[in-house]
Amino acid sequence: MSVAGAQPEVVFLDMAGQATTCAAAPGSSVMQVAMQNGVGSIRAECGGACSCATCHVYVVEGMQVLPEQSEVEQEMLDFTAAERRDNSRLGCQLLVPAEPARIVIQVPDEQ
Amino acid sequence: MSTTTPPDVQAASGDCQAAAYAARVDPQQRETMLAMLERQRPGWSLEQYFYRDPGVFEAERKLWFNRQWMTVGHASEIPKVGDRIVRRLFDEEILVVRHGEGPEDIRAFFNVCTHRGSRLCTGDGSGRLIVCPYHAWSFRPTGELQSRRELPEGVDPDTMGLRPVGLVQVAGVLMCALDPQQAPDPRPMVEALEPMLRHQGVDRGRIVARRHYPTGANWKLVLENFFECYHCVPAHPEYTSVNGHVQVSGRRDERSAQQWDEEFSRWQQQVDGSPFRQSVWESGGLERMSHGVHQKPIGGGRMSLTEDGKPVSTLMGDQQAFDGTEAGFRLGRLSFVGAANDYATMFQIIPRGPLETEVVITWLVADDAPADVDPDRIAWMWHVTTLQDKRITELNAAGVSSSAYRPGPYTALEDQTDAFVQSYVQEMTQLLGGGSGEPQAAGWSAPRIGRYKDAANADASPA
Repeated sequence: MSVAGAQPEVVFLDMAGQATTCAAAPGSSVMQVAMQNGVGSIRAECGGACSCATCHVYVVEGMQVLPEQSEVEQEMLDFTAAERRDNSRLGCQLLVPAEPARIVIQVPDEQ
Repeated sequence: MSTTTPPDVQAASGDCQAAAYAARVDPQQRETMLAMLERQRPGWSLEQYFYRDPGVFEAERKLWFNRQWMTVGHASEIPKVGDRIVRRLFDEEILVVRHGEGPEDIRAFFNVCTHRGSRLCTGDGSGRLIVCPYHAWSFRPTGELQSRRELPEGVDPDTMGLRPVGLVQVAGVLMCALDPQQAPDPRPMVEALEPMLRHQGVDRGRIVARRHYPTGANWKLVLENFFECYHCVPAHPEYTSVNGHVQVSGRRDERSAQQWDEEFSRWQQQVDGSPFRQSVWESGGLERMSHGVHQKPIGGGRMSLTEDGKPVSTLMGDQQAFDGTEAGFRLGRLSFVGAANDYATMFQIIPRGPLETEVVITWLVADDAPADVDPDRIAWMWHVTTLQDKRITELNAAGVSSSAYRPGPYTALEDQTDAFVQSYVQEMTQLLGGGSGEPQAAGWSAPRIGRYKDAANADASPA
């Protein structure tokens, strides 16, 4: 757990709303943070190459500090196991910014 | 039915094709094998060479195995989109993948990445994409390349899809062929057998057991044993005790033939006229897919193929009442389905090497049968019988390896085995480009139903 504001943090919510807050090293991806902390259903079969769609998340807060969606990511989002929504992203493409920020991520039950 | 490469699965015929295929085999090997085939004595077992020689197995692999349709599983194993199973098809590893909700939405591919050849899947699984563990190339369940990460300029991703394997479904039984262009057209088999397999509920089956019987014997010895019941009385006491047909398929005496005759007639009257209680036979060949169904009573008032003759599960498919029928289906040369009223059995005979064959048996019950059906009671007869078959076939293989072995004569009770061996000799001769190149008229004979006195109407069920 980190002191809010001192460094970026990612709050993971499961579909029931249970929260887990994790400190995130700047430059790491939301997928990596989830894997390092054993959070949720994320499988990350391709290891972060944006080619498997098994790190699908819903961004609840902080979309504005996250990188924009690439065309490849948009295509890959057609292959998520859980429903694709407007705030669907692939965790491997969500690099945590250098400046302190709070990102809230909901992790679907299925990948 | 569905095929990945329809509708031209019908192989072009003729000498040209045979010659092109025969060229796959080493010329020396080809010459030796043709000479050995030519001296094969009709009605006698094969020479040791055919049961042991690695070169023969290699020639079979290149010329014969690749054109066989072979059962690889059941549609219930991949119920959801993205579900996949990894199976061996002869010496290849394949993926069978569900890509849509429809019953026909299943495809099969070689388990080989089109990037640099890595295996894609290491086991059965599920996922919306198939992701290579090496460089994370990913493929849709339909086989197309999805991820194009760093794909070099000029490489068309549409040409980089997974390499397909032929797939045909018959009532939920998944059958594959490595080279569907060479394999015979499966459609006549599907048209003939699907209504009866569906009537037996094989399409709505749920797997309750699967067992593997690795057998240290050449695949032809395993099949030869499977096609005759001459050995049933000495080798299979349990099978003999529950199967009425052994009265004619396992022995030849007037009294038991008469008993079976009466049994068979009573059953025929009971099922009179049912379009689902007919027998069908296509001996098949290189151009026509061998198939058939052979229906008969279990006998002795038994309602199922069980130790006590009592049902072990609920009626399958569209059957309305227990009538004690056993329907024996042949799907190509190496796959079989046996169906009692309440359970069905899928058989796979898988050649693994010159001296190694795997027999896989899968037992199915109705998908809505109670959860507590007893797999051991259901599997009882074929489990006991197949363990015995493993033993006697391995003893057979050991003796065939001796310098003292000479081909021996098939008896009248082994006529199906004889017919199989004759088909083998004909087909291999043709595939090696020998003989006249013309398919011979005499093929695998129809199983005989009823009584041995009438050659066209006596029983010879696989056992």
